[in-house]
Amino acid sequence: MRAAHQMLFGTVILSALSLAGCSNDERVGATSEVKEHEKVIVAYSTDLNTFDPVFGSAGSDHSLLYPLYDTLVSFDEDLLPQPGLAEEWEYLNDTTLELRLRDGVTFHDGSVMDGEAVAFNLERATSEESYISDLNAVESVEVVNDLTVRLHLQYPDSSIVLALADRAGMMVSQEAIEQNPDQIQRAGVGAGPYELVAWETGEKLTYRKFDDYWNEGEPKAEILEIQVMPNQMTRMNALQTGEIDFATSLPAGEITSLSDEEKFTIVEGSAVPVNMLYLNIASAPLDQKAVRLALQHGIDRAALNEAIHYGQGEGAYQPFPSSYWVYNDELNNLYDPDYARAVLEEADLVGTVVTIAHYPEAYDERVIDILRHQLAEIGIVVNGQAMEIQAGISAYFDEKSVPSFMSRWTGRPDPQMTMTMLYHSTSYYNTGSYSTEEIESLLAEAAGTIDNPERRAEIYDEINRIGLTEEAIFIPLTFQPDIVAMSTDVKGYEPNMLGKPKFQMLYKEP
Amino acid sequence: MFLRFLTKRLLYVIPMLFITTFIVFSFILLIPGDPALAILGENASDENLAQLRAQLGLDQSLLVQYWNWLTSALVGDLGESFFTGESVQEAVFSRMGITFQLVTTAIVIAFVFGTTLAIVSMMKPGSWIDEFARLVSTMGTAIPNFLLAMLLLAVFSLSLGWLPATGFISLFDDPIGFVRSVLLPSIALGAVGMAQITRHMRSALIEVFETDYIRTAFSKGLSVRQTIFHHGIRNAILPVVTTVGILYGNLMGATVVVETIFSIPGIGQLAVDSIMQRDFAMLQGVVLVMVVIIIVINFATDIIYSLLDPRIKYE
Amino acid sequence: MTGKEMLRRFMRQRAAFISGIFVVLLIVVALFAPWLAPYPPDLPNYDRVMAGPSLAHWLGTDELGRDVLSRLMYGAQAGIQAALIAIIIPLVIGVPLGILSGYLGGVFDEVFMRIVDGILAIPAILLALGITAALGVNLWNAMIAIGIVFTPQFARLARSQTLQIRSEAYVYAAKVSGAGAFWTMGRHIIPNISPPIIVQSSFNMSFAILVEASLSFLGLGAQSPQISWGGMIQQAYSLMYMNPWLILAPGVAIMLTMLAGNIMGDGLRVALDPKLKKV
Repeated sequence: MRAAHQMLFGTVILSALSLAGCSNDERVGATSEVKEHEKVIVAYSTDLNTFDPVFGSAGSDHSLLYPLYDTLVSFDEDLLPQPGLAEEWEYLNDTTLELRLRDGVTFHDGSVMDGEAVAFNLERATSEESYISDLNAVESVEVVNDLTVRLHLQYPDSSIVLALADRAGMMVSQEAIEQNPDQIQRAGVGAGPYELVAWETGEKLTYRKFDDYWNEGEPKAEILEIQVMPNQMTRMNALQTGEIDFATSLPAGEITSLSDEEKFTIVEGSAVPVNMLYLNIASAPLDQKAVRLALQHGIDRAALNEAIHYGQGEGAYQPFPSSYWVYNDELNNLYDPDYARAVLEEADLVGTVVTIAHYPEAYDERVIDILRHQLAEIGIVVNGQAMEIQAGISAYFDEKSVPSFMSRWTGRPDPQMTMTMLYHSTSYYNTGSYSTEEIESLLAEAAGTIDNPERRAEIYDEINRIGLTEEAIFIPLTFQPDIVAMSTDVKGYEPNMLGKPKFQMLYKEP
Repeated sequence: MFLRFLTKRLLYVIPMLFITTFIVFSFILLIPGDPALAILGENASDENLAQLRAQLGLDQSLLVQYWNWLTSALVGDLGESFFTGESVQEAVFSRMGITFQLVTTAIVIAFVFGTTLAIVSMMKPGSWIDEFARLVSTMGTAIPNFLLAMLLLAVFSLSLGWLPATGFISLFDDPIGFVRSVLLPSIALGAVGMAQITRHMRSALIEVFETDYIRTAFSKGLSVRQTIFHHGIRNAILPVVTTVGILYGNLMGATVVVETIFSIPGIGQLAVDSIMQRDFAMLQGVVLVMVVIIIVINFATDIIYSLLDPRIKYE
Repeated sequence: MTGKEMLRRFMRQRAAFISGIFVVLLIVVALFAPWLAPYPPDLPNYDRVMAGPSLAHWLGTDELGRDVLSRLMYGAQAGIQAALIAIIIPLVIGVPLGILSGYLGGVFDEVFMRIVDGILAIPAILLALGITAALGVNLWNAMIAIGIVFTPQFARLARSQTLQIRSEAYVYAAKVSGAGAFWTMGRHIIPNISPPIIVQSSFNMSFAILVEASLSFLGLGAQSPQISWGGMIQQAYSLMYMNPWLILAPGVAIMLTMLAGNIMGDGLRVALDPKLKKV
């Protein structure tokens, strides 16, 4: 009978060998020689979709693309434009933007990042097959000389500069694309501080310092490893046990349990992504303005924020957080349950049922529970309908089978993009295609206000006032705090208001 | 004789694979949510959508889609992920390698501890270890694996800091790292198996002890130890082999939750992600490979069973 | 064996008897939760968030200040319903098809069993996950998914039992004497295959609760305002650092119920099969 035992084990082990033989670590083997302090390990919530900036729409990709791709324009922590691969830029007139490029920049494959390369990339971003729509205003790109490029616009667009800090501004090596355009999706070649070593899907991305990076002394770490950990508790756990150095998007409240320890630095930032109720104004009962206004004025954001963020984060009555340059002080509390109830009573709509699609996550369910109780008091019955992310997106944006969707507006580098996408009747995010002439003419005016930020901010105040308090086109709820934590030897982190951290700045003190 | 058995089994398995993949295929298309829409996001204009759907083959009828998939699969091409462009077979095999190592460790733990516990408890009936064995065999089946996983994680990783809380290291890269990374998740996975094996082993041993044959042997001075090792294990090995076979199937499913808790990039996570993302190409590949593996294991179990079963009879 | 005798044999096993009582109590709690629960299960109280056990709240309160004991009682409803649906669907669909397949044999049996084996080769939780995603995320759909997952198991069991009984002399005799197929099935097969199916049902009750909890944990089970133990664990897990004790109450409830289901299954097996002795 011993033979039988051996047989059983033999089979098991043989099959284990045959399966596990294809272990995928050989590629990364070389990185293990690096000293511990020269390697920074980050835990991030989402895996990459594609390394090709023009094919992709997930906002979660950016943080994984930034190390590899420098953008033409950069931004500071307040989301104001800063020099990137373009050292400076200037509007020659309302519809001509001239970029002056940095000299001596090369891509990871050794090719030169010059005017030709920029024109190639921008033309690619505006081409038919590109998913990018931020550069719709661009009519043509002119290469003046090696280091000067002009963008000719069909109409003025105040968001163009910061659009070049987003996907559209990520410069990819022309040679690499021409050699094999499909390859870029899996292994990008940019001019950023890090080059790609390996992308192990669902597991981690490994980057190595690019020796010929134009900015000498950067990056400071030799190896950057970004591990994919979708579950926030897992990210907390891994940080707690020291398996990683840096963890992103940690849960409010829970994080206070880490803060007792001297081992960790916790940074709470405020960022533009806003949790909100998307409303399809073309569908019942949200075609009734009274119902929308009741939602807008019937939700106590401060109480909601306190209950789900434990004193961190902030309540939202507009799509901008209080530290953002376009924030309007006057629009800071719309909560007025008496008014909300009165509006409903006047329209004889007390007891209206509003179906809200939401994600089946613990956090979202908690929010829905609170909304249900708050809105019950003013006479609206909330019917929560849990849908996982893709089902929710299809149902709300495509089939339009649910009137409201509790999700997040992930924010854009320029407020003009946010305002247009949330308020304009032709925007994908305005599912009911509802807007007013006044709002749309204000949006056009803001697009043409390229050199006067104060005026732009005033226009946005006006749009928000009309769009939120009079029309209730969408219902902002809260700004989730942007919490990261790192072991104390990790330096260099700067939160940015986009909520998309640039991991290339992280390094460890030896 | 053996060959005929083999051919017969194969003839049974092949049509089953067709049926399973077809069921899964038609089923996948029932899942609401359009992958093209998910990929395009805000850029989902009607033309873009139509173009991408055509590119992914989603605009064709179910039968055509299945036929295309099948003909490629037969020549070993499972396609590419809708989202990441990664080759499905590469992804599935590397992830399956991870899960297979995890599940196999869980089963080895279950087997070693389960049989040991059963044998020791039979050698000292009524002792604390016997009581413990009974407790394990009843409680083990009642504790949900994710609860056990959280408990182990909280105690051994977060509080004591002895073992890592996340990740997986392959046995072939670093055996010690492998054991450290896989210990907690495989205990969480294997607890049920351990309980089942203890249980089957115990009852098989009891059965042997109660046969007239052994009673006679006892009266002639046969020791408990000899009984267990010479006769008991023979009798117990068949149900244990069956249990191990079934466990593989069960744990391949149960691993979904445990992989999530320990952030192990195995096939279970890949399956959940592909369902959530509507990455149909990937999901189809995952299910195909899982089903093939389970069928192969069932097949192996059958063969081992038939080899082990020379009609041992005591009555 | 008469029903009375079976009941006596079942009650004579102490552990099984206690488990039976536990299950009955659970059903009572589930049925009368609206009267038994000290608080409405979804009533938030922001002044008493995550409070420990006290006289007012025996099991403390959760992250929104809701009474854990009340939620646990309502959660029992979901558990019992999940178990029932997960058993009724296979009984109504799987068992008849299995009997038919075993009784008819031939091509129908061949094709049917291949489908059954094919589905059985897909891991249960994964299949349930896929079905829930297809039907839409909520508790009912999760339960239906679990029921569908169990169906091939029951079909297989019913078929193999039918095959065994079909070959037995009295069914043959009944056939020879000109009895119709349905009469044969009704008169001989169903009563004879019932015991193993009852036993299997009891085991599957625990498994149903486990799968429901796993689905809820992955976010595909009960959704607010539905309350299930798995959903409570999902919520508690997201607060594991601040308050690890929140996992305890639903966790223990799930364990006890699964334990009761398993022990009851063993007890039923012994009670229904005179040849078996207690292990």
